[in-house]
Amino acid sequence: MRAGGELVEAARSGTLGRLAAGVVHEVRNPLGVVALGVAFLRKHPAADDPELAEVLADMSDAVARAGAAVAGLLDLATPRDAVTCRRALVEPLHRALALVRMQKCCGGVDIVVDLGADLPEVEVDEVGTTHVLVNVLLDLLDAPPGAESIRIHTFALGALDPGAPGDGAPRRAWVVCEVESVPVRVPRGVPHPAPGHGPWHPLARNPGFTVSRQLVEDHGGWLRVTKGRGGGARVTVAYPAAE
Amino acid sequence: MERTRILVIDDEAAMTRMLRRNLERTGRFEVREENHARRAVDTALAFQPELVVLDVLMPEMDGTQVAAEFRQRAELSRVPVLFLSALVPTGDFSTAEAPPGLFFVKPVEVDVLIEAIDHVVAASRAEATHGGEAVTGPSTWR
Repeated sequence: MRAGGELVEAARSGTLGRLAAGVVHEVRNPLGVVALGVAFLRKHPAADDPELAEVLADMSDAVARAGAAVAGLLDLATPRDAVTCRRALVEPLHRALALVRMQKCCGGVDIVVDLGADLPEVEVDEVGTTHVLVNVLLDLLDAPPGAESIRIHTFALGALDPGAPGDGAPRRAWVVCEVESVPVRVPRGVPHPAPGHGPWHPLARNPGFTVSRQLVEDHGGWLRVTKGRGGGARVTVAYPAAE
Repeated sequence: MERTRILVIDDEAAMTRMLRRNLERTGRFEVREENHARRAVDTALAFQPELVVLDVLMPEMDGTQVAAEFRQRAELSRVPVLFLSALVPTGDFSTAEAPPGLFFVKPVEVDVLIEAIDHVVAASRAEATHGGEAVTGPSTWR
């Protein structure tokens, strides 16, 4: 499978560069908390200090947070072969969200997640799929004119449902992750187009999507970048449901 | 002795708590925490700080935007600001909002921060009494 080779490596390098600043921020902040905690304990070491327990709790939380930030980046940074197996699509989605939320660029943007219940599993490489979803999220966060919110919706799509691949495509069920940037509040009643339908968004020409699309297609899936409601971009990533 | 009022603005609540603990335990400072950048001006107007410790990268508003809002308010325009940031490489920060010596990279040493606060507050009080140059710190604090 090509996803195990150069494309994964290309996606890996690109993603790491984009995440680096956010991870540095996410590590230095808890380091700052720990350093201030140590300074406090040096000067006020009394065991019956009423604030001692709170100081230790803040330090402990800070260490855990820095550790999680480093571990998340390390998972993506480690060169490895693709391992394709059955898993819930929500697993790489959660990993991607944890990494993207470290980026202060998304701090002012609401990220609304609506996970469908009882979705079928998919057969994907978790790290490669995480790369795809991280890049999709970062691209939508970076895209002008700036998103007010990012809406993520996962759901199942039947073979005959609107939006499913048509002629020539295998008749199968899909698990879809739809990520939409909403630049302004969309008035009530604006129809939601079928997954992957609508005019192409200029963001589709972003070179990062070429790699992401290839990675998804190597797993039998598809990725489309279309115009969403309110003039934003909508990226639809679909993988075949595991049988 | 009257304590110096310090407003600490950072979206990280653990960071503002730790700064408050360390500063207030000296017995010389009264600290107010603010974790929402958009409320910073209102909190400052209510608290009337003599100095603000301000995080640079915050989700609701950038710290330099907060400082710019302070500059536009007559009541706050002369309150000195010490910037804190987790993201800028050490010694590589320059902006009109952060004169030399008033910028610190996390993790910051609390004794160095207190030394800077003392210096800046003393300079600010002297400026208010006698007039003079804008407050800056020595470059060794960068």
